[in-house]
Amino acid sequence: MVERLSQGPASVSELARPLAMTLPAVAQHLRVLEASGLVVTEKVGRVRICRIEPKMLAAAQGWIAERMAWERRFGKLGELLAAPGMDKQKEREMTERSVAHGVFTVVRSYDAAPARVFAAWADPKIKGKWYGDPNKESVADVFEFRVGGRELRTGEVAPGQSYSLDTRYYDIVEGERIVYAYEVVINDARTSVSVAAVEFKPQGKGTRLIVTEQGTFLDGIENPEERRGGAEFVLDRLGQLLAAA
Amino acid sequence: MTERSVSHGSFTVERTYPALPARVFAAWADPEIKARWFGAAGKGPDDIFDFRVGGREYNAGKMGDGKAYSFDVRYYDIIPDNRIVYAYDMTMDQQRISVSVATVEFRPEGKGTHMIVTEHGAFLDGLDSVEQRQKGTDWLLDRLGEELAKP
Repeated sequence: MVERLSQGPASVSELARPLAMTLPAVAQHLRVLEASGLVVTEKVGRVRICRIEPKMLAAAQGWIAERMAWERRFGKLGELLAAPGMDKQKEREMTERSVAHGVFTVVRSYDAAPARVFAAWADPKIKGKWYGDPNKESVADVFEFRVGGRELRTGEVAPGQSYSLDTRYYDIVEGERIVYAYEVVINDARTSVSVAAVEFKPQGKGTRLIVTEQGTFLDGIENPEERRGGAEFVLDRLGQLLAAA
Repeated sequence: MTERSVSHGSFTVERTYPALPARVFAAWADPEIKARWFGAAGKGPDDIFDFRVGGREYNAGKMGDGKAYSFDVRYYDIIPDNRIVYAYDMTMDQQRISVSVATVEFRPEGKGTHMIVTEHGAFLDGLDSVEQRQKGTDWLLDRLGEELAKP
């Protein structure tokens, strides 16, 4: 219905015609769309005309694009993006406890030398440009790039849906490798704990970057298969950043 | 000069103990009980035991092979009598040999507990391996079994 209205205003019966729905059902859908502010209806004579509210459509499109970027970054968030108002404690109690495991390796070749690629991980200003929030530059709450140090990034995946990416550095060999553990928490529910190793290998004048992650995924919130997609996404962003400079 | 390398591997070790999940869980959660089956004998001067989400555990000392080991744990997830998830690194003679994430699950089985330990590790510079970690874990879980066999 939104698609049809984005082509131009229509009456309720015009909207209903191509759909396999009764008029009352269409009217009910329209009431929901009106309540959200996305659609405005107006009685013109005896006919009710519906049209899209352009400002709301732009906002909805923006939100949908951001949400899709987050899904590429973190994978499908499943039941976590539950209807607002659901009690968090109840959510946790209702969640069936389970543990799943997933391992992946992602490899990238960059034209930049290992020291430069390494700096993109070690320097908080550079890292924020390709890591973390996929929709804007991410500023870490804590950034201690040293053995035993912590990196903490928090924010919102969608309005009212918080995330926390909490990393601890275990091993750092300058220009060569980084080994760390990290957890992902979404809406106060821990979704995973992983160990990751990043190796920077010279390849001609450039770098072969190898990222291996082994993760424990809790309570069926995130799908282990989708964590690889998130890593590929940020490493492509890193590639774009290295190529641009 | 150390030949740099990283290898990766996972293993699962399981045991069924004739003790209820609460008792098996307590063997991990209570520092006095844990000291009876885990790690280097005796309390080292730098040892830490802070069993809570975000807490740290540190245990160091000489093991049966005469080498000095340290074991540095950070607890990520604790569900009493159900599961523990933690990350840790190990050093041997002051060199870091591995970084791992471990999950311990406690499942009731009749009057006992089916306990499952799964570890994912990054093994550094050829100093450790998934086979050695699994052997070490097997040995520890046998010691836990001996502790739980006591009345």
